[in-house]
Amino acid sequence: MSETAYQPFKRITRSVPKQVIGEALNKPWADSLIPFTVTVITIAIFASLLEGYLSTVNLGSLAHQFSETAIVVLAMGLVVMVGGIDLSVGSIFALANFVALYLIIALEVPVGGAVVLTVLMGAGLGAVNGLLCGILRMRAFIVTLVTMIIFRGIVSLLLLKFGSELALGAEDTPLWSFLGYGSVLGLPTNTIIFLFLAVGGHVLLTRTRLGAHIIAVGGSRLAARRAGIPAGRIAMGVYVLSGALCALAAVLYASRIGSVSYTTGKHLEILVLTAVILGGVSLGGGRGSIARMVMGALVVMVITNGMVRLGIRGGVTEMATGAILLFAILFDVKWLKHKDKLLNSTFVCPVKLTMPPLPDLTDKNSPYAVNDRLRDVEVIGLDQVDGPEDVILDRAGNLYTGVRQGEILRFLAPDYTRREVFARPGGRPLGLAFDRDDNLITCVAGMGLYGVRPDGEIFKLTDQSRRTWWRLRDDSRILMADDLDIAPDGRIFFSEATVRYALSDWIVDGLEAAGNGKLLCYDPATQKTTTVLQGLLFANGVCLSHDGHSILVVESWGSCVQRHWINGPKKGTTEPFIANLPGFADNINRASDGTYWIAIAGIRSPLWDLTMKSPGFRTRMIKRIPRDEWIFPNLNAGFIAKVDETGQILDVLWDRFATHHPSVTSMREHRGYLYIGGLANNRIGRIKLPAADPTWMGQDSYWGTRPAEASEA
Amino acid sequence: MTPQPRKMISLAGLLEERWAVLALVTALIIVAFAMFLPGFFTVENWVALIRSVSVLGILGVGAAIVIIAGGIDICVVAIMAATAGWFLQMTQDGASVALAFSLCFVLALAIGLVNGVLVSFFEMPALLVTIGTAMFLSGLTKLVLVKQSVVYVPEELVDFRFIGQGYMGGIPVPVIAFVCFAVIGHIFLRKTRYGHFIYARGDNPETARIIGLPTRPLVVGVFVISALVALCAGIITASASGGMNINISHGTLIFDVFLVAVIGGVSLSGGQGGILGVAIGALLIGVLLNGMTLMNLNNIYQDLFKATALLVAIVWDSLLHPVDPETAREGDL
Repeated sequence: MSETAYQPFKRITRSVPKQVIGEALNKPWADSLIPFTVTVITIAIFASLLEGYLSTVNLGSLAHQFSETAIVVLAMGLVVMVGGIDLSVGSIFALANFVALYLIIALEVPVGGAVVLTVLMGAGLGAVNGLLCGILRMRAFIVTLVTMIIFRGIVSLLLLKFGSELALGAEDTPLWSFLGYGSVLGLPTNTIIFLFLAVGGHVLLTRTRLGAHIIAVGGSRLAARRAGIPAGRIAMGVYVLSGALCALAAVLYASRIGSVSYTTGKHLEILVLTAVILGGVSLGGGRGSIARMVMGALVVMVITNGMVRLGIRGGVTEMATGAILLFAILFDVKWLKHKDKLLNSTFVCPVKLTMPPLPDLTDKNSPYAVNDRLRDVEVIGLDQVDGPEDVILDRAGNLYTGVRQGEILRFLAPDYTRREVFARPGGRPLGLAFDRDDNLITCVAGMGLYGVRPDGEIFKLTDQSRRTWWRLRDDSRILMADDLDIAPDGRIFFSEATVRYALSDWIVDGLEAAGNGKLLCYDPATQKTTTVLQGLLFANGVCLSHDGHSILVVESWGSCVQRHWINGPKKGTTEPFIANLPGFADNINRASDGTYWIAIAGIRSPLWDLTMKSPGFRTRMIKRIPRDEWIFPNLNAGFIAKVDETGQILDVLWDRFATHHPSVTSMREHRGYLYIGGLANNRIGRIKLPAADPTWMGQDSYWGTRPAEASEA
Repeated sequence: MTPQPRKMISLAGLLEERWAVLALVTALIIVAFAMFLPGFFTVENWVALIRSVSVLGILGVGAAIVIIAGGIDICVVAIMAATAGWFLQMTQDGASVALAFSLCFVLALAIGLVNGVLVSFFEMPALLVTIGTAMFLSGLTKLVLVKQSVVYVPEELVDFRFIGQGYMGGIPVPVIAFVCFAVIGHIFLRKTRYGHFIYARGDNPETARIIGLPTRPLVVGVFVISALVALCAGIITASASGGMNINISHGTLIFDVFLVAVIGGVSLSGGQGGILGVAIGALLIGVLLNGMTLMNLNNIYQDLFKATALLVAIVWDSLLHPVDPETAREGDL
């Protein structure tokens, strides 16, 4: 039977580098890679052109010189992230510079008080912008342009009236000198403050509710508003913060330079905006990070400073900055537009899969020869169920199934015409099994392994497994628990079909066929979830063998079934159980006569096998043609097979003309009947099995008979 | 607001028109100044007044067309400085006027095309594109095009001074140029098919594209127009003041241009306003500045006053047309 040896790990390794690239692009920090590269290249260029550029002394003086501007970059960056723009930063900076010096030198306010007052004034100026742009929703560009002119006008006016009072004075208290020229651990004070603010900003944006709200408002103000976020107040708050940060930067500048002039902070807004855009903070809001703002600031500062040091004429710097700005915007726009496409085409990493020869179904002597024995099924719950992936019956004969609406429905015995919602886990319940205490254990797609007590109360068993160390994408959360079975000692073996796709995209995993499935084991005794097997090609149905010593697990894309020994002499080993089914098998369950039922949801075609052979073809298909024209694994068969303990096909049941069951994903034998479910069906089927034991039921087979309860039904 | 059918003239209806309100405000200020400011209501003063705003008005016409089409062009002052500066530099160096002007024309055309193509075909935000090209161009000007930051009109170009300083029929040439630009701009926007297309594009870019308007070439065209208008404004400025200081591209002139357009009722969200408003807006600014100069107010106060006037105008506009948060377009700056 074993034409190909079982080699799960070999199948994965081919796709690892590509998968890592695709998953890296999906990480939030992927957007920072380009600004980071640009930063490194820029620094490298200037370091090679200028001698001693990277010396400690030079770096220290650079930091001392540019920390205030970097703080203003943070201010502008935050405003851009909330979906606005603040052109008045330079004027606020100039005004705060004047006010700080005037308070300290002319009015002789203590330094601490002056700093607080100046920052408060900056916040007040920011509040003007915030009120107009945030609350009144006026256009940020024109409003801050106007306030920029007004604040600048106020500075000029103050300089005219009071500038002479500052001309001769100077402040040299220790605190003031420390702000301007002090250092901590070799870093200038203003750099320390900048780093502190950057870390604070990072925490604010990534770890707090307010930060999430800021990003939400920037991403879509309308959506944020509808979600109940006070968008106007959030936006206003950010403008206030921006004003305060500019004022703080100006205080540091004042302590360092100690003079006022008409040109203080002029054109700062353009420089700062260039830094923000270069850092990849998208104009329009919602995308960006503090790290990227800092990188953008670094690039701009290194370029402007480096050009001056190189003695290049002013025009070149301007041209270079303008050109860099244009390229940065171009890249940002194109990146935003094509990111999803790029992610789609790099995320799916098809792997070569050579399938064994397709069994010939037209051959009358084939064990799979087509018949029409599912034609005359009784129909249960027609149009009352939407996608009953799995079906199961309790001891009383009631029929349970999980449906697309995220509910477990119950049809009451004996006639199954009365339907009720038994439980509502929320995610889509797939596999179902009863444990020893008649709790219904279920694999809920998107959630994990859950249980439902007989009274309908839901409890969680597990939703996490160990993270695979080399995967950038966090696969510890169980994304697509599919089917389960329970060992006599209570351990629950369940399959995670794929770690890379959620239920909405599960079929794309078939195009990848990279062995993303796992067999997991939850042990109620230790409450730990361990990985038993990995590298499975869509781990699907799970069934405990009749002797309780091994677990049968179906690999849908591999069209095969593996047997994993959990007890006995071969414990821990895996061997093929069925090597070559004609289609994509789904669930596997016990039959009354010591054999197994396997549901086959779709039939392979020679075209499909050829497609699987050529990963390059699948990659091109995904990249170049629209999704609805891709070749997918078809779910096109109403087909149930019966196999014995050695994996030999004993019997097949076909719905040849797809009258009732265009596709079968599960079947459950109970008291002489076979109940049939399908992922995309609108009904449950029931067919009499003439040769079957009319008293046999799954619960008895697993947990022994309980005559008292059985008779109650 | 696309061009509307002619209405019956009534006072209430007229007051709904932005330009009419603006004209009323301007008239009131003129009356007030005429009553209280000696020397304001004289022919010489008015000639000086209109002359002083004619370049601003011309730039305002170009800016209005871009803004109505849904864009914005920060680059115009840089184009003005670059082309006029280069023109004077070339003529100083002995090039013929025709050759120098042709080269400047090509430069303006190229910048306009670059702006337009980046905005329309590459879908980059107009604001940032034009900030970038303005920086690039002003660097290029300093580095390559001119030798000093102030370039003077060469002595031998006597006829050139006529453009900025001459009179035709007693009216200064710049004023005639302003009127020409305003009339042509008005006819273009209101009476031609492409003018209507521009309103449609500015009002709703997506709809304009869906109904089959050539929105991308349209946007390119609009930026080219803006660049060429800037070229003309630059030539007039250079002629009128006898030289060109290329540092004006770092000044606040560009804000005055937007001030004129926005006060004149050209909404920054596009598709609204017209040249009539811009002309009255320019007049209002001219009257205010002239009045303040007569009152001996410092430049700083004038700047403050202008900015406050603009702030009042846009606050007033936003109160008259409050934004509905449920239907507002996302991502506008």
